[in-house]
Amino acid sequence: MALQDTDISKVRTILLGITGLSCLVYAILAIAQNDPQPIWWFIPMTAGLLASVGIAIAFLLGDSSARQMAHDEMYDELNHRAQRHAYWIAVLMYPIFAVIIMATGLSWETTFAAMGTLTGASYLLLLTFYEWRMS
Amino acid sequence: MIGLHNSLKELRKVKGLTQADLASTAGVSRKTINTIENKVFVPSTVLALTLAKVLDISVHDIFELEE
Repeated sequence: MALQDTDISKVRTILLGITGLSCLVYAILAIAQNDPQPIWWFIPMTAGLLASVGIAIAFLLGDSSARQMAHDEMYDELNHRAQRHAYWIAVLMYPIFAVIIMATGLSWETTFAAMGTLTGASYLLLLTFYEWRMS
Repeated sequence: MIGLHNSLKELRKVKGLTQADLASTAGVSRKTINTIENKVFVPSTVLALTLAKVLDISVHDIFELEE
């Protein structure tokens, strides 16, 4: 049974959204507990790897036209838009976290863990949001 | 500011095609056709020419500049 382009897009959106949420939850918990490892450190990484495998399988289950339609120029445009916006969010995190560190005494280890996962979360969740808004 | 007016929806209906029909023939998603018709997304030159080819009309019939 070959997947349609809409099925591939749904799988991609859901899996990237779950990965983004896992990164976001990790960062929030790290900041809230001032702990660089508030839950198992490999959860966001595993979510990303499983999402990659799931998306690859979805594309493999679609025929060539479905694959092309699922990754057309509007998807590229949304992807680039999410990258551009996530870049600025990542840049803005430096002064924001400087303030948080001064105000709360957040440790450097926790800050690095939170900023790293938030950087991933911002891109993944923005892409998910832009795709959902266009659907 | 110069905008881009398009008559894709009307021309597609004249040809008796659904958004899904046009999308699959042009090799893009139905969402892409929908966002072009609603002027949310401006297609590339390649896609504009592809849509014109699929509908068997000139690209100028679909898109025109608006002041």
